[in-house]
Parts: sequence; C-alpha cells; structure tokens
Amino acid sequence: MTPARFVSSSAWLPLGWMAVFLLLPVAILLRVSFSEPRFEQPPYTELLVVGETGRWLWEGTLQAWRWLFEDPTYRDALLGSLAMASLTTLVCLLLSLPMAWAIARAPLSWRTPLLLAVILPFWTSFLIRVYAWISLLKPEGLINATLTGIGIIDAPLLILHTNAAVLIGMTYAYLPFMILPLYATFVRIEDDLLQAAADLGATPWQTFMRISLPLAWPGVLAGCLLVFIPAMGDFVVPDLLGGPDNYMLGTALWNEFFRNADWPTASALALTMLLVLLAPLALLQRLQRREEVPT
Amino acid sequence: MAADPAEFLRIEGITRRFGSVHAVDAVSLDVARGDTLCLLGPSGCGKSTLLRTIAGLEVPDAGRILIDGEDVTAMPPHERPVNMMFQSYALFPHMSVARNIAFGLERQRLPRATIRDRVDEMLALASLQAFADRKPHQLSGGQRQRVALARALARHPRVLLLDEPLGALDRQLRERTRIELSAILERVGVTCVIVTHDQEEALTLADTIAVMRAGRVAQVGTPDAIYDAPVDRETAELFGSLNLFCASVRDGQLHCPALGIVMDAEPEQQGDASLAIRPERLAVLREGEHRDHEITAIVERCDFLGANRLLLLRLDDQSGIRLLTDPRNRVEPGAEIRIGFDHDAIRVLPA
Repeated sequence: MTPARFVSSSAWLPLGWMAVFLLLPVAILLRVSFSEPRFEQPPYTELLVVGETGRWLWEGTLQAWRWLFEDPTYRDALLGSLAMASLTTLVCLLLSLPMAWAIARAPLSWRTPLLLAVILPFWTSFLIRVYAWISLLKPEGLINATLTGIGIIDAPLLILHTNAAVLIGMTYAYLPFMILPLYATFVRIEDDLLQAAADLGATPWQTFMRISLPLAWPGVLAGCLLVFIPAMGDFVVPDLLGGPDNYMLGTALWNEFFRNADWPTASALALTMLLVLLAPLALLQRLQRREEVPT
Repeated sequence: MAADPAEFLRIEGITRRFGSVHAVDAVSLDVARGDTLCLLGPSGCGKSTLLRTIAGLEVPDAGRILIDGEDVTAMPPHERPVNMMFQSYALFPHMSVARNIAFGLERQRLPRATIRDRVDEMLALASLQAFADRKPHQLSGGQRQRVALARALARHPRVLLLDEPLGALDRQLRERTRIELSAILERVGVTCVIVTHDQEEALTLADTIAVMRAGRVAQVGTPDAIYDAPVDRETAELFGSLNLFCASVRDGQLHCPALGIVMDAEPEQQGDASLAIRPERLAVLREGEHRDHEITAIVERCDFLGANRLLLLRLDDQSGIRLLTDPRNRVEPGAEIRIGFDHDAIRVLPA
C-alpha cells in the first residue's frame, strides 16, 4: 500500500466521526428548522406530505428563520453571549499568562505538580463545581460571610444571579483550557532567547512582551478559541449563576427546546450559533497560515 | 574612574558553585583594553560559566567583575555594558535580521534614525545587507553566525563575549568564518572574551590564552608562550600531539634513558619529570646532517597527511615517537633512520 493511500484510508475515521456526530445532526437541525412546531410526536411538521391528488407537496416554511431575525430577543441573546464569552476569554487570558509563564519557567520537578493542580478540578463534575459557586457567592455564602466578618463590608454583596457571577463561574470553568495551550508554547521557548534579550538590554517585562508573548502567539490563539467557543454556547453557568437580565444563546436555546417546545426555532438558533462559531475558527486558520514560521 | 588600560576587564577571584561542585574556583584574570582573551579548555572546565558570570547571567558566589574600574558584579545583565554571542546564536525567530540587530538598540531608546544607521552599519560590517529582511530560519549557518555577531556588536559593548563562536559550524565553514571573525573583531577593536575548546581557534584569535581545567586557570599567556612553554603535560597535550619521555633528576642532572640524554637540571627540578618534544621539532637526518641530540629509530608507519608526513617510530627501548616532516621525506616502514633535535626543542615538565 502506498503512503498516500494509507493516509487517505486512515482519514476515514475522523471523516466518519464528523459525518455521524456533526454532519448528520446538522442535517437534522436544518430539516427541522423548516418545519412548524406542533404538540405531537415528533413535535414538528413533515416537510413533504402526500396531497389529495397523490402527489408530493412541499409543506416547509421559513417561519422559524424569519422569527429568529425579527424577534430582538435572539439578537440580544447573541450579543449577550458574544459579550460574556469575549469578557471571559479576556479575563482568562490575563489570568493565564502569568500562571502559565510561572509554570513553564518553574524548575522541572515543580512543573508536573503545578500542572496537576490546574487540571485537578476536572476530577470533579463540572455541574457540582458550578453548584459549589452558588454556595460561595450567595448572600449568606462563604465570601460574603468572610467579608462582613472581617468588617470590609456591612451588607452582603449581591453577586449571585448577576453578570458578575456568570463571569466568575465561566472564568473558573474555562481557565484550564487557556493555561494548558499557553503553557505548551511557553515551555518550548529556549532559555537562550530570554537570556539573549536580557543581554541586549531588555528588562524581564520587555523580554516577556517582545519575545515570549510573540513566540507564544499560537498558544494564545488556541487558548482563546478553546475558551471562547464553549463560553458562547454555555448553558449551565448562566442558568445556575446568572439572573433574569442575563440572557445568552445557551439559555435561549434551552428555552425554545424545552420551555416553548418550539423545535424549529430552536434548530434555526442552534444552526446560527454554529455559523457564528465557525467565524473565529476560519480566522484562526487564516492567521496560522500567515504565521507559518518554523522555529 | 578609568582604570589602568591593562586591567580594562578585571576578573577577581570569581567562584561559582553548583551544589558542592566548584564550576569556577577563585579565578582571577585581567584583559587589556582592545585585547582578546580566549578561555580554552575541555567541556565542563568552567569556561562557559565564567563567561556567563561576566555577562551577568550567572551570579558568582564570590569575587568581583570590574569593567574599566567599575564594579559590575551586582548589575543585572540588561544593565551591563557587555554583550554576548551565544553558542546557539539565540536569534529571535519571529524577527527579521534587521529587527534582531535593532533589538538591543531599541532598548537603549536611541532615536529612530540612529538605530537605522547603526543597523545598516552592522549589516555592512557582517556582509548581511542582502539579508536584512530575512527571518533567521531562511539563513545558512554561517549567515546566522554573522547576525549573532552583528547583534552583539550593535550596542557597542565595552566587552564582547563569544561563547564557542564557531562551534555550531561544520568544519569546512570554520576556517573561513574564523578569518572573517578575526577581521571583524580587529576592525571594531572591541575587548573580547572568547570561550572555545578548539586550540586552533584559541591560537589564531587570542592575544592571551587562559587554559582552564576543573574550574581553575592552569596557565595564562600569549599563544606562542603557551604553545612553546606549557606548564604541564595536560596543557602541552591541548595543543596538538606531543612526544613525552620519562626522566628523573639525580645529583643535579636530568637523565632521560629513552633519548640517551643527560643534561643539567634546573635548581627547582626534583625527582621524576617528563621530557616533551613536539613532533615538528624532530628531523630526519641525512648523511652528514647533525643536531644537538641524535638517536636512531625504526620506522613503523609513514603516513602522508597532505601538508606534511607523520612518521611513527620506535626507539631502542621500544618507546614510540612521532615525527612530523616534509611530505617529500618518504621512508619505508622497517627502515632504520637517524633522527635529531636541537636542545631548545626540549621542554621539561612535571611528571
């Protein structure tokens, strides 16, 4: 078997996976989005029906899509999600840069325990950790009790069920996805380069900004995407920690599917979200092609 | 306060320990302004650690570094008036050649025009004008080496440090690059400290060589002096092959049975000693030709090396001896020949 043939035959596995778990669901969503909701099983109408004359009739409709673009609720949900996901990504990036840098520059024997500490939360269920934040943030929770206890504030801060709580929860949940790729690129930077920068008069801060950070650019991009994409569609954190003014795509999607039982609108919404998330991925591809610099 | 130009760079009792190992052990050296000092020694002898201490990349456990009378021991690397060319070159892979060279100048907050002029000057000095916009990975090994040199020289350092400047190049490129390097350093006239394990590099580049061994300086001197009068066998062996013979001092006389020599010993010589003679100081004697000392030997091998011919000979007492001669001096293995050397070719070293 020639190498080329081997590659093409081994490519069937990811392609098959994509077909079953991405293309097929997308096709189903697309099909449902052209239906109308109904209170039966399945909860959407057929697209093609056999008419009285015995011929196939097209019964599909663009109503769900029209709905999606006309009702400002969805636009607000999209903007809300964009804002929250962007903010989460930014906060994660700012927190992760020093942390990933410190781990990558720590003595070799320290790196594994430190990385383990970053990954350790994954041992516990995501849902349980978000619930833990409720008890930390609530008015009579640990944070408020401590702050009032030592007299920094008189009345408890109302954090739970606000945007701040969502930001805290999402930052906490997605931080490791930013730290790990950053660490992976930082750790590959040769000590010689940093010493050469110092030798040429750069302060540690200048060395970080001009050498380490540019060289870690692929890690920054990967980390931002790994945080931004799940943050865009997150439902658990905004639902549990967020409040009424916190309307995001994930919540909107859940509402359409389960509360309103409007599967066509929900499907159209899900597809729109997918398209929105494809944009940063395409951007990444373009940037990476431009940045092709072997080190 | 300007110091004595002979002590432009002072290394005073520098000690650097890693755990219980003394990587550098109380080393003191002076380099005159504009001179080149080569730290020569095998890997692990502490030469690179000493260089990095001058750069400020290692903090010494004891001792001081002074540049033109100023104590820089406590100064962080980015403040020192010193630049280093790394063995790996350490070029910034995301920056063009010109940006690499400009990096150090931008840190000095020089005016843009000054930086541009200085970068152009350095590109010209290193014959890199055509490559200003290339990234390091688009350059050959020799070009990368010149970028590293240009970058280190751009800030007009008071002391230039070179860590194995030719170490990453293949053999063919080395000699040419060494000549270029030597010419550039001469033109710039900067005070230099070069680390190398290659004796040829040290001999050709240095004004002064410091031979280092196990963290200490074994000998300091000009290339000629060290080659000609090494203090001990290990230093002598650093510079090419050497014939060594056992000798002993008795009643003020030095006896070397293998060569049949008895000569007056220096007063400080006691007990056992080694006699050293470089292979090129031995001559194959023709009929009627004479030297201070003469012996007969059997030819074991006769190897043609191109520029010269290496004879492996065996003496009466079965000890081997190497002789470097004109390539036209062809002798057959098994032949008995007469060889000789003058008295000043003999070096007496500690056993």
